[in-house]
Amino acid sequence: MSGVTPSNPFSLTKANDLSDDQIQELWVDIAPPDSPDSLFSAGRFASPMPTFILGSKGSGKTHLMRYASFALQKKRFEREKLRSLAGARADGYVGIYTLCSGLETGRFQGKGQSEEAWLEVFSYYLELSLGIAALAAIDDLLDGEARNHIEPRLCAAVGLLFDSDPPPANGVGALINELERRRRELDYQVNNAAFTGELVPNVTASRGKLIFGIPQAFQNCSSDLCGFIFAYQLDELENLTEAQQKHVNTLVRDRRGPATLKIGARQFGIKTYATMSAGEENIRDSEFEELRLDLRFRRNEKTYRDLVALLVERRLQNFWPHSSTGLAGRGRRLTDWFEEPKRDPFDPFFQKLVKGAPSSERPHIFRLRNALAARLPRGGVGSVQNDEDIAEITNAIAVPEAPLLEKLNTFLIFNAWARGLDLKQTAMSVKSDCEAFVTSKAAGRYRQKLDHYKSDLIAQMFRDASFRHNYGGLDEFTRMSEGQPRALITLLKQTFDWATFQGERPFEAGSISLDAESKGALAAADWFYNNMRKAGSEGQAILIAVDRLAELFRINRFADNPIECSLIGFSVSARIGSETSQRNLRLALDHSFLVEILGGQSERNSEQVTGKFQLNRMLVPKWGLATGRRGIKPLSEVELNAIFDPEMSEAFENVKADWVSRMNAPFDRARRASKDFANGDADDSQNDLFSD
Amino acid sequence: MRSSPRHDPVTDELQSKIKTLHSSIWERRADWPEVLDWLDQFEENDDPDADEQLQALRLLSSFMYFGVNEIRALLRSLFRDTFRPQVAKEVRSSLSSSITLGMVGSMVEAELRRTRFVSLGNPSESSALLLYYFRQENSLPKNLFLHGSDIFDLSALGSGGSLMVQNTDITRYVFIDDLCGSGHQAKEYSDRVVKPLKSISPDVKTYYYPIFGLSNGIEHLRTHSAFDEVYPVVELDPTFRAFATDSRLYVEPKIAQLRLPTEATCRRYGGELVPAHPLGWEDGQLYIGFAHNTPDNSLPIFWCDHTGSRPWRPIFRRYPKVFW
Repeated sequence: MSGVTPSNPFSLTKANDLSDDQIQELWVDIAPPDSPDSLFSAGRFASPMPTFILGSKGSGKTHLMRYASFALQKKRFEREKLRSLAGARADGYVGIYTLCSGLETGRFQGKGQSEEAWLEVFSYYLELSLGIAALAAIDDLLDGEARNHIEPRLCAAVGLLFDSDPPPANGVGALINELERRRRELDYQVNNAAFTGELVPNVTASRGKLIFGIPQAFQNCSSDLCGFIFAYQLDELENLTEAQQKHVNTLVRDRRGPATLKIGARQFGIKTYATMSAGEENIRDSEFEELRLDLRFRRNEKTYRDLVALLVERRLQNFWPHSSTGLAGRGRRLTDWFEEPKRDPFDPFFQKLVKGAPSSERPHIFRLRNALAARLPRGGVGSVQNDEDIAEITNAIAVPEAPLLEKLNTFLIFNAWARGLDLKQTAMSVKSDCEAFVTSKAAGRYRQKLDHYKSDLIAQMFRDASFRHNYGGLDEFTRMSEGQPRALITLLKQTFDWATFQGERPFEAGSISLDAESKGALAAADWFYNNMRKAGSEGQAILIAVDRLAELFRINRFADNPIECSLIGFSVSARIGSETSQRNLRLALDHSFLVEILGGQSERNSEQVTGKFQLNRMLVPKWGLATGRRGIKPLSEVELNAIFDPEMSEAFENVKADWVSRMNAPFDRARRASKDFANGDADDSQNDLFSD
Repeated sequence: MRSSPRHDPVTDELQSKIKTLHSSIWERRADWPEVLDWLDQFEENDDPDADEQLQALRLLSSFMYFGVNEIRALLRSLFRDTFRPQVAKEVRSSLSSSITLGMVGSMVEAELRRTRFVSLGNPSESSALLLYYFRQENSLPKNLFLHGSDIFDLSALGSGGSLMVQNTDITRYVFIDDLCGSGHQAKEYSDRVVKPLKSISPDVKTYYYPIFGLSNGIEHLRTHSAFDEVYPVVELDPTFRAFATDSRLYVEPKIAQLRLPTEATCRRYGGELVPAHPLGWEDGQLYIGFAHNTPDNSLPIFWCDHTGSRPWRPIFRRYPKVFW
């Protein structure tokens, strides 16, 4: 039976599941914390300006915020032999971390009470909770001697913050106890409101009084206590209702004194920017700053790659000492642990894919020959009038030693067919270009076409051979993770599990097989996809839309003449589409099933705004699509609605039939303008593959 | 061989299921190289319906393995949900209806002190291990346990006296087993131990509690053995037999037609491995295994470990009883 299986170094994927020590241990940054390029400084925890730290699930928000929290600051102070107060001054802040889900905000509604009443109760509850957290930090900051003379003054000052019933306390501990008692009382009332029908809290402090007043009162006690701010870190703001978020927005707007708010939320989690200050809305860069974590990573691929490498190495540093090979693994390049998919057209692997068959018996030649032969009874295709003509073409484009190039050649013939060019002449031209490439391997238009279409060509060859499509290599996994470190960790976790199950020794010996990597990628895609099932009817609508989109991309990927290479992206005008399809497109973006393409997003042309989007690459293994996006397909309004409106299944079937027909021999619709599917922006006819 | 990169959705699905089982409830007992090694003993065929390897893989993906934690949980249930309520029921029926809950409770405790839990076989066999777990899980004192041979006092036998019971204060004997298949072994035990016991002390109550029991075997014991109570924690009805006409393995219409060919495959290999019982002891046809052993009522292709004329590598090895 199996021996001991090494524990998976990537098994912990959520920052919420990590202990403080693990948060500290697993933290990596791309630059020193004081550098403006560092992730840490991007959180701007020491800045009084409130910050929204936004990002998709798994983009690292919680890890960043917890790393910046006082619990972790203290660990670093200890390591540097700094007293807490000196450390806070050096950092410029103390981070008071609170998970919004921990407030159990769902309790503050219904139960026969008015919305206004609940909002007041929630407001007071937040005052008490953050007040307690601030006092707990103060308790840690105060040293022995200073404590004795500061505490009575602080308690007196804090007492003045209350509208009634100032807490009778002489020390911070007693103050905390009293505030906790009031919170427990409130908890009791809130929890029992459904049974008692009553909600008569004794609200003793106004909004913001404690949250902003306690830090101010503390620093007023002595100039020695100044030089840093209290950064309230509210994580998972998406768990608050719109009204509750409005309350938090008001705190953001009314921020004062040595205190600020750093708010973590999913990018779709911000339900409103409105405040209770005369209906004013908070404006970015005026009332708050915004840090979009995954966007930051996606904008700077190199930065993200470096971060990812550090992140993986950090996990492995903890794994190697316990592995059978010990620390020996450290000496190896990270990418060498992963087998890479074969891409060289002269790799013998491609002979294996066609089972060493002669050119004439290979599936792609077979397909071309059959397609042309099927047209002979209907007058052939241009100069191709009989079997001899077909043989002349297939002989010309045959490359016995490099099946991948031969496959490209069939693509080029299909492309010429779709464009109504002379196929015999094209075959001669392809033959000459191909021979030149085989001889020189030089860059040129043939090489360019090969590079562009390689992914689709290989995918088709894999499918013909009934092989599982390969995903693998650290670079490809990094690309797939779309700037979300947790997505990468999930990919590696699944890959590690598959590799060990299949008897490999990942990160100990050899390289992780492509088979294990591909199965890991598929398992990670399934995990990502199935998470959405929990999102109710909205989730269902997203899944239908994404399934349809992927189905169309698959038609393109496995077509005789794809309209775009490595197609996983589309563009669409912001002005078109039904309300339903626009909403579902937005939802798919919010849930990261679709990703906005940078550099082209909301691009303004002469008249309209065009959005460019792509499938999240974490999902592509589900459908065997490419991870390296090249082409972008402009979608017409009919196509947009057919994909993103779940009710439009019949229209979607029509779109599908249209795509199949225009991309596959005999290309009946390829050159025919369609009233239904074409419009000015949706020119989807494939260019001449030989035009530069 | 299923290790090739060929993409076969059915194999992929089964492999994925086995991976999940392996890393969770199978306690890492069958990783993929071991599965491949086992599968390699079957014939491969391009026709999926005739592919023995695919048949075996499908069967394996349904294998019910009970690890130490699961067995311990079932032993807790045996005491808490099976035996203790039975004693409470008997106590209550012996009292008038006006008794209080507290009184029943204390009487149940008193009855438990006059109960002995007995392992069914030899002290070196699995039932002794089960009793060890049973004692730990239910926090029972050691003196409530004994071996079958300790039930009787044999001291008077040589001097013309008769067989006597060692401790006449004991009112209940509970016999614990892991699996009751056909019920024949337990029936034998009943004849050898329980019958003589009942002939000496007719008022003593005897209970046979296997963790798992096939319905037919349980019924056989209820009608033919001397046990007063026969009750499994988990009863396996005939649908748990792999190739029964209503087998739960082949309910899905698209795989229903695989039942007979798979049975033929298992019968063919099983016939070479255990000629008298090709589908398991007394045609058990089970696909069940425990952390401590795999019962011989399961299909021999899973557990048989042959090194002789027909070598066979098991996937869930059975440690057989060796007789000298």
